[in-house]
Amino acid sequence: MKKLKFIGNPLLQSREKINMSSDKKWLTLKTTEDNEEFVVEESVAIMSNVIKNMVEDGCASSVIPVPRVKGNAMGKIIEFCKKHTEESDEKVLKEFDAEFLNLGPDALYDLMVSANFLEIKVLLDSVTTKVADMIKGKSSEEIRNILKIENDLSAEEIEESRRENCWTRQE
Amino acid sequence: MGSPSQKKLRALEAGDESDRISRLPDDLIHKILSFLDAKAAVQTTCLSKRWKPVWTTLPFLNFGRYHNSSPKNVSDFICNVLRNRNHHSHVFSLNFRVKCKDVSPNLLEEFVEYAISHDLQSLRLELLDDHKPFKLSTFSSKSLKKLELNLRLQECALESDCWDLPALTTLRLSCVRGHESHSRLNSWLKDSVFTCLPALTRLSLHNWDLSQLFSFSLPALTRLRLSHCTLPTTVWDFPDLLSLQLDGVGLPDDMSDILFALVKLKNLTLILPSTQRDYFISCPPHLLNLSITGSFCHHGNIWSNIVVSAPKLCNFTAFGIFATTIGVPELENVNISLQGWFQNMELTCRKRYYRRLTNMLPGFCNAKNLTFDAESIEALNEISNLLQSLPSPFSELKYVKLPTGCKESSISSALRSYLLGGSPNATFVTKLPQIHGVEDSMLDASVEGTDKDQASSLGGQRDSGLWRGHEVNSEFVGLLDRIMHKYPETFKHFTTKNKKLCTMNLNMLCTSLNDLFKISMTNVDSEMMFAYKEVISYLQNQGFNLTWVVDRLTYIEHLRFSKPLINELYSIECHIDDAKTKLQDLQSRAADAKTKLQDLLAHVDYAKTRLQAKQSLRTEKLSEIKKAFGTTDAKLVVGFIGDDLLSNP
Repeated sequence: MKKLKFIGNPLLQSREKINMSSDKKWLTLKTTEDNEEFVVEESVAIMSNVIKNMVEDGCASSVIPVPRVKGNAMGKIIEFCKKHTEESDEKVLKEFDAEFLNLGPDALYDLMVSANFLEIKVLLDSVTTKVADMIKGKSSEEIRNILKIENDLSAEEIEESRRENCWTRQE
Repeated sequence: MGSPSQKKLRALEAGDESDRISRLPDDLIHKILSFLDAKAAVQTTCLSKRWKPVWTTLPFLNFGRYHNSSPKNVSDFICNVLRNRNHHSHVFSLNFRVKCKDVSPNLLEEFVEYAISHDLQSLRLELLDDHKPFKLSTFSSKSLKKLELNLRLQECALESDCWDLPALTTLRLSCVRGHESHSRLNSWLKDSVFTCLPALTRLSLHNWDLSQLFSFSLPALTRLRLSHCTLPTTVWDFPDLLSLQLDGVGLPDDMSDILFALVKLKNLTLILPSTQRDYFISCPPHLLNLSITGSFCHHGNIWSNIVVSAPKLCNFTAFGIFATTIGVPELENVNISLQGWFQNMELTCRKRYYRRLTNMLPGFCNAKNLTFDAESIEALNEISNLLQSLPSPFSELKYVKLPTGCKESSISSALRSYLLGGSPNATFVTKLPQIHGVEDSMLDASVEGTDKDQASSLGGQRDSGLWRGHEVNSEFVGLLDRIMHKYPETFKHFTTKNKKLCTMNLNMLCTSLNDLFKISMTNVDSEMMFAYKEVISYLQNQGFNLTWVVDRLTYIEHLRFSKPLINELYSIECHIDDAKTKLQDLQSRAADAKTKLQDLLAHVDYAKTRLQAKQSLRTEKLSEIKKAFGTTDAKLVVGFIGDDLLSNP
């Protein structure tokens, strides 16, 4: 059985269903890795350059397959794009982004890779800035904890690297 | 050594996908590091094996100010980056924001030269104190697109020093005024600065004296910003200029001298300097957007009167209060903003100036849409009593946009009738209906793009700690404790007579031992050994018992220099290190390539689908044509007239 997902407030979903036949254009995106389908407005979907090209070339009449992106990442991406097409006030968008990107490193990783593949510049810039902020001013040990990086260097190797390239300073 | 392998084992057993951030391809990690200072980026080398070489190919290098670090450390760090970087990898952007005491101009020039030879596209150099001026030719580059300099340039007009920047699109030059007030002599820009910039579209000049220029001309320029400059006396030749911003510049009496040659100008922004006088602004024929920020004068009773003549002006934005007369038949949108104009003045003082709004607003009598910000609406409400007796100056108003958060009910009735009274269809709105796109180009009028602040100074840590009452570098406290623990005799005769000398000696001991112990066995040579032996003997004279160090040094000499086999071992180890590094490099490039390949294959599928869609459109169109011409032979739709005409059956 197909799983159709409407992104947004569940109470509004029924209203959205009714509006489907009105003048807004809708697309169906399907993540081929886990077979989840998403129905989105065209104006939201074309924030992705890749989808935009498909639409412009008339390939959007049936379901658009989206490889390389997982279902839950797709959902988040659509939520992001929806907010950014609806809202033009920069302050509101900044607050939304801060809240939206309050995720663990794994989720951010998924978003980054997917935004890169789908060519959504705004999202990619936001996520990379967020990760940069997470590690700004932190020591190596702290960065490893935050980003869950496995330390496979011996203490000597670390010391040697630090001596060759950085300040001689204990952290 | 137990911890890393234990962790790995746990991860394998758990079967979970930890450390996924490390599986990102290099160019995404580079994107993240592009927001960080070079020091933080280079320090990622210590995170893990995968992260070790990432900084060497990072094409975004940002060097900021390093507080709490000695100039030697800063210089050494920058040298190291230059030396240890992967030289096959290009440099996309280079930012320096440093003090000259930390980095010599020679080192900077060397780095700039390196970056330019590696396809540099964006360069930003900011030197924060007095220095030897730079030659223009230092920056010549075929690939450079964006250049931002805040430093002293060679000012000698006789020297034929110029630069060649065929790809440059954005240029921003700020003049560093010297410490002496009479150093204005050094702030002239010479003509050769503006030659050889065929592709330049955005130019921003700050704090320069342009009066010595013979020509002020750039063929492709679309945006120009002059801030606190002395204007050139020659004609402004920018045939394609769309946006002009003049900030704190002494304007001539008749602006048409400047503006007449700028025939395509659409956006003009003026931030008036603090002198009080009247302005007559006669605009070029196609000007659509005008923004004026008035100058604020505390104690003057004289306020600027600004007369604007612009046949096609559509949007006007005013920051501040000043009297205006706008002879503009097609004025549509007027935006009045007072946010921050009064700076920190108290409300009671500000109230005195609000009444001036009654001199300002009648100037916009034929506006169709008015937009106010929170402060200007508040100001108008404050003077409601005054407005009561005045007729509405507006006769063609359609919409008055109130700022977010301001309710229509908070508008006093006097204000309401002042604004809306003279226009039959006028209403208050919270969002103006979108009619043109010109409103957006108004916001676009500034030359300054959004520059992310690349230079971040990391919070410094305190450098000194205490060890038995002596102040030493904090990293040495641990060292001294360990020496005390293992070789307590070292400090047996350490006297405390002259405390200052003792602290000095203690620090010297620490620095020398610290450096000595960290020398790799492969880097030992007899000169170095000799030098350290001298240092050790000096320290022994000062009262430290360092027999244990001398013993170690003697053993090393014995090991190193009397047995050639060991040298051969070291040489083999070097080769092994090289081979390991090469392997790691190739492995990560392979992983990268794999991810990229998968992405590309997916894009190939997309391209195939789009191609098929277009091909089926073609087939449809051909059959339409067939139907329309009713011919069995649709061959001649595409081809040549003589096709198949004379061919044998």
